[in-house]
Amino acid sequence: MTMNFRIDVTASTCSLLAGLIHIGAYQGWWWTPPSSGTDLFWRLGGSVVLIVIAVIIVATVVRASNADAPERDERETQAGLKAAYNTAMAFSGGVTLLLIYAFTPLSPMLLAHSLIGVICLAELTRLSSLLYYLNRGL
Amino acid sequence: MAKRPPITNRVRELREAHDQMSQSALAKEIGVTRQTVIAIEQGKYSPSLESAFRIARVFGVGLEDVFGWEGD
Repeated sequence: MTMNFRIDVTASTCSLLAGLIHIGAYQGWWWTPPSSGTDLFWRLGGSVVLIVIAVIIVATVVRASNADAPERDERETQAGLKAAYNTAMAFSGGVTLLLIYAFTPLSPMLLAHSLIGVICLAELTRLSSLLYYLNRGL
Repeated sequence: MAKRPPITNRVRELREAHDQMSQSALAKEIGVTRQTVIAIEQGKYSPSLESAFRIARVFGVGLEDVFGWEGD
């Protein structure tokens, strides 16, 4: 696998995990629900910072251990494009659902976490698509 | 499983006949990952025209000596 691909998958996986942590916190499964929009803002900001750090660590390790890997690979590029199409469909579907419920009494906190859920769905679709296309063929 | 491309190849046979070249070495020569070479050999993936030509040049043979159309 190319370094770009490994970094890409790391970023998606970390984003998915972060999203699930925030949704779990909102549901009261673990941590505590965010007390305000500002609290959610800082939590999400912290998640972004941690994701960036994780990506930098992975990039450093991969660069050191995989120096011979090519910069790009045609099969990974094709799989990435197909996965991106599926991701766009999942994202569009999720956002459409949110729009349908936009005029029902959704609290801002519920709306924000619903959008996080849509992003998680999109990332899950992307990762599973990549796995499918690379293992089963294009 | 995704439909297999209707293109056959002799990449593995030629690679082994070429001083037992490894998949990694072939991947490096043509500029793809080892996983892509594996997928080509297993018939799961048809390489681009450029990669197909690069493979043929590595083995010093023509394109049709490496790749063929299923049923031919």
